[in-house]
Amino acid sequence: MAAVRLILRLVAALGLAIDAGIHAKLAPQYDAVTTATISQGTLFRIEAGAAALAVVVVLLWRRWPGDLFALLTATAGLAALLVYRYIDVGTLGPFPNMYEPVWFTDKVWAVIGQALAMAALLPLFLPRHRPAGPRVE
Amino acid sequence: MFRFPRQIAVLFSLLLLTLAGCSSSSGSKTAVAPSSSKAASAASSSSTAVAGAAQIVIDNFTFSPATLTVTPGEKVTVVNKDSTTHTVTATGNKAFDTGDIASGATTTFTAPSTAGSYPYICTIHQFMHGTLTVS
Repeated sequence: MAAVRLILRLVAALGLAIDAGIHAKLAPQYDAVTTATISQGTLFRIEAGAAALAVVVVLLWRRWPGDLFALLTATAGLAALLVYRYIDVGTLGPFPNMYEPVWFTDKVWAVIGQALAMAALLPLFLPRHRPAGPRVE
Repeated sequence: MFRFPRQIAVLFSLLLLTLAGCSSSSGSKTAVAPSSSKAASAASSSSTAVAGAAQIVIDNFTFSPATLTVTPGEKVTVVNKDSTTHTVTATGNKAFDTGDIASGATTTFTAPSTAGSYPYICTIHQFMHGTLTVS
């Protein structure tokens, strides 16, 4: 069981690292999307930073709050990506209009990383089965 | 019971973060103005258009040059240096439209045969604007 959880953490960390790398790579280009207070490039840097932090907490801290933070990072990133791929939300408060109705290689990799992280993190929240110890009479 | 050695976790974390950092460093590109682009000006009527020389480069969500002057019917080359897909589409009656230009791809379109100023956009990222002047 511990080995399975280890593999799940490694897979989650890999997915989060892909997520971080792609968003950090694209951020300079997306600084041009500044139709509101915050540019899309800044949001990409926040996602990249959160995903990088999540890699560390998933592998080193290994506590449920850290796992939850990682899961929320991946889920929020994937949700935003899919919403703005298919729905023209327009500007939303401080957020720019990030509608981009196309798929391209880096976007596909970001989805793969986020989905991989989510799929690996969710089972970590299942209750653990502990072997029954010797009963003390 | 299998235990997850903390030293290995630290090394793995550093490895992943290094990989993420390496991929991000490749994204910091410097915009370079195309040498063959003809920077347009209102007084550039004497520019002699050479077939295939007119070029629009897309980099960091910007058309360069923002205004290009060509002769009627001239071939215009479009180079997409961004990671995402773009288009070069004339507004209004769509006098020209490249369709989707994938990341790293190059395409061409034919300038309108009628002299005039043709504003164009990227239909995917509609905040991107440029102007093609035919004279």
